[in-house]
Amino acid sequence: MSRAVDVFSVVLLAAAIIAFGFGVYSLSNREDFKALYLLVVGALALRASTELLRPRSGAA
Amino acid sequence: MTPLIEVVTRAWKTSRTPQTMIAALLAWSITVAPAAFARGSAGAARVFAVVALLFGLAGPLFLSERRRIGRHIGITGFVVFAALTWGFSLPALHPMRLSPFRAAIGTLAWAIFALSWREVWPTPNAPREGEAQAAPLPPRSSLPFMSVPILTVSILATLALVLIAFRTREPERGLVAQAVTVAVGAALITAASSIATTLGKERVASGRRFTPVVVRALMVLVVVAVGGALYIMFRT
Repeated sequence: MSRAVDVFSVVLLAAAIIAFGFGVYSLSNREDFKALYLLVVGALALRASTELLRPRSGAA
Repeated sequence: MTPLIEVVTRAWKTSRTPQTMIAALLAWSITVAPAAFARGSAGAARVFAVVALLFGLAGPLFLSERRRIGRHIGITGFVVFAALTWGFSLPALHPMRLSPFRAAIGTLAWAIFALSWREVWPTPNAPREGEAQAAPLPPRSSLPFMSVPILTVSILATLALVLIAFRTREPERGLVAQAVTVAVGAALITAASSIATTLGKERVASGRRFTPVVVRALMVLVVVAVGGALYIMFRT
């Protein structure tokens, strides 16, 4: 389980990098809405990737 | 004397309050006032600039005792009204009219402003809320296998983002693209270093699970990603 969570976290980080890349690319191409969407998705993916690895005692 | 005046009087006697007020005045006089009072700026920009100054000077007065209120006034209020001032004085902020020297001094002034609002971190021995319930973190002698590749890729991706931002042709959009890239790069490297050092750590069974916070973060991600993609698809 722990290994799968590690891999999932790295996948989310990679997704965030790709989203940020296309977001900045869209911004330079004057596609404001698409840029905003991709940057927000990138930020959310980044947050999820770090939240996954944060130690907590809460049960799920 | 009312309690509010007493708080202000006591704060004024500390050394930090005047320092923070001077830092706010410095940042305002270098970056906000010239834009607000330049030719072609809207009247609202001048009003917002004066309000920003009042917030910047009033916030530090609550530094010693009502810190939360002080931070809201001195940081949030000051920054919000400074941003509103800039928003209403766009002709003065055109990249062609920006002096590199003033830009450098302005950056320094805002850095001093940020430092003036510094907080002393709690000592390591101070008991922290929730620490007792947190999962134990066993010590390790070496970094996890994937740490270096993850950090390397993140740093290279950040540099690539900066290069992509340089593709922008319009100066105003280029400025925004560069600012976005700096913010994104900082977030990316911070998150990547956090992941790189946490990866593969052995914990007790309850330490790594899909807790409600994680599930919420993933749900928001899926909803925004799918909703946004559908909206873009149907709009075009």
